[in-house]
Amino acid sequence: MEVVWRESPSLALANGHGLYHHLPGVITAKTDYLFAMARKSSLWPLTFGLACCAIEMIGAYMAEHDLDRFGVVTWPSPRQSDVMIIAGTAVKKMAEPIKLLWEQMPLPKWAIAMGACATDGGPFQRSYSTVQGADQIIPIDVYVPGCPPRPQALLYGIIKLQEKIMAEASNRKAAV
Amino acid sequence: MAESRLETVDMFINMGPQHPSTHGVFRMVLTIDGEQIVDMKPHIGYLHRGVEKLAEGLRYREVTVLLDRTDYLAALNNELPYVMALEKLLDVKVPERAEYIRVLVCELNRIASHLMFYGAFGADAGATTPFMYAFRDREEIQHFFEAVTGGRLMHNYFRVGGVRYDLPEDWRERLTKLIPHLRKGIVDCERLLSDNEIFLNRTIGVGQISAADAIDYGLTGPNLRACGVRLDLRRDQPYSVYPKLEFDVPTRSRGDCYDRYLLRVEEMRQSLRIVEQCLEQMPDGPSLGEVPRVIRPKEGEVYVGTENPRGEYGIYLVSRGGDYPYRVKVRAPSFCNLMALNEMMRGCYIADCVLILGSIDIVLGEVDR
Amino acid sequence: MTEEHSAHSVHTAPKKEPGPSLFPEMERLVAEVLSGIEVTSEQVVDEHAIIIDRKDLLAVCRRLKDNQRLSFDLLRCVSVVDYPNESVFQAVYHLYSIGLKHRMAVKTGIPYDDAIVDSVTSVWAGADWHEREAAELLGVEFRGHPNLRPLLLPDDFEGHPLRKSFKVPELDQARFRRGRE
Repeated sequence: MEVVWRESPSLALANGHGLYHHLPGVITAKTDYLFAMARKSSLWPLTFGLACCAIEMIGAYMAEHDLDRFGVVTWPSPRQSDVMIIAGTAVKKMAEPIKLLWEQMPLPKWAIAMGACATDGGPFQRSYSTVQGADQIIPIDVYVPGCPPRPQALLYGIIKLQEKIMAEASNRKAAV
Repeated sequence: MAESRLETVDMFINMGPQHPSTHGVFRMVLTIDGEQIVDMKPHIGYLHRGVEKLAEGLRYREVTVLLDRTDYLAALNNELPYVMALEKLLDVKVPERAEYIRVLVCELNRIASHLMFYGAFGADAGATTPFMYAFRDREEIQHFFEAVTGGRLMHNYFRVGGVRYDLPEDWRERLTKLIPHLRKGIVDCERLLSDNEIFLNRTIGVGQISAADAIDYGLTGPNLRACGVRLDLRRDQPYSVYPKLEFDVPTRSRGDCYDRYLLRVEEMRQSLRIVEQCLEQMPDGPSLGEVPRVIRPKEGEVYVGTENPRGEYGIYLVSRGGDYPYRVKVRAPSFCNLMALNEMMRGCYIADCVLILGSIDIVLGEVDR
Repeated sequence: MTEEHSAHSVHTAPKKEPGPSLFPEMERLVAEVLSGIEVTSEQVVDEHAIIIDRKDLLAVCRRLKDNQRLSFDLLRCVSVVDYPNESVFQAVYHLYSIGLKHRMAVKTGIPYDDAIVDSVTSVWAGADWHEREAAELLGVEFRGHPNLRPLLLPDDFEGHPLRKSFKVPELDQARFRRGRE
């Protein structure tokens, strides 16, 4: 990690007067890192349940699992959301609205494919009306296996997404 | 100009398919006049997964996997009519213990489903706390299911001639702990909403439907009983061990949102009564009867309807010999209940449309199948 | 429906042998109510089933609903089954009487070359979506239906998936190849 926690003297140094030495700590890091940290700590998924997995997704938000403690708070409008959780079967008729919603979300944005249907079609893979995996419609960052995945699995997927966001921040230079 | 022509143009509002309170991917186009709904056009099919076609390509035993996923809030209740239909075609006898286990888990699933309704309905009415309470209790039921069937939401538990596993060793302790927890949970739920002034004002007299209309549209389950029609297939077309169990079929008379809500709360109590009786009366014996290794029913067809939390869940199973079902037609209760939505909504205020939709408790998985 | 079709007796899946019903009382009652209409009883495991000609469908349904001793007021389900070997669809109407707590099934055959049958929406409003679904997924036309638009499938979908002749397209293999490279 390139994030360095420093004691207050560094700020005092920057300030030049030593006035703020009572502050607990200061972070020096690249801005990419700081933004990534902020982003990963307040992921707002779009309130968007497609099928069975949505029930487990709601279960993850509710009292027992409490996704809020990861900074994950649902948001009903795509305009202010960061994450789209495809929780359920993506049907051909629904493909167009999903794409539209995805395009309405501002950057940076991520997508989680929750469950077997969103990953590759799952039990409905051979059907005439389903899309064989949500990644045929939109780019997916994290796949959560299960049919349906337990709330804990979704939590793990979100933690993985947070790790990915941090990794992206450190790899940006390499990528460019 | 001596005469000015003013034209009125209808105003349309589109809701869905992505809308936080459409309980899935339901889309409706409302025609409104000011604040009042003149007409509502439902659009479904955003979750049409072709279950009936897929089932024709699966062996008889495998079809329950798909049926689980139609009405995903009450998966066990969906498996029941299918295995019952197969048992009728095969003429298989089910051991009594298996019947009791089936009824036990079905009724628990009914409570879990109604709790989900309760939470979502509270949220539709503008209260988020009920959701938390409902899920607290629902999780407890799911823990029990996990111990019994191995799954939280999808179980694939019922087999032709019985159930997959016998109950776990400590099921009695688990259940004796669960029942008072649920009873208290239901009381909590009721205290939170049933006498709440705001809730009463929002739900009483909203989304009314008359008994005659309800029957005409083919409504079943709590939505029909809220209109005062006492139709409960557990009692009227007895199946499994329901004739041996004591329970009431509550009805209400007004047929509005409040009645539909209150009826479901009362049904949870009745279901709990059945669960208690199952706990007392559970006989010993095998949990899976004598079943042929290969399921190949004779030619024939059968329609079995059972009481799902949302109404009559029916399976029309046609066999023409062979390993695969010839036709599996699902009579989904939400599919029929949704037809009456227009009737309920007409004349209501636009703010109530979410509430009315919530009150009929649809599951899009079975509407579209 | 043309006259030559009604000249044939009953369109049905011929493999099933018509036989006496297992519910003699119901059979007698139904025969009494439907006197004057050609009715064949069929062996079904747990309910009384009759096969009628499709031209009589509306009349039969009205009588079954309006008769005091039958009063089938709830239409449980409309299922259409495809029998390609016999070139016939079979529509099955499952009826239930809430007051009298009895049930029965009405069946009628619809030949491939003239796949049209009367809609029963005028008898039970609840038949609406069942018929729309059948029209879409099986390609049977329901005459007199108020609004026979597609219900479930996307607008550009071609074919009737629940017909036996409909083959599900193979999986998109390109996707798996992409994964391997």
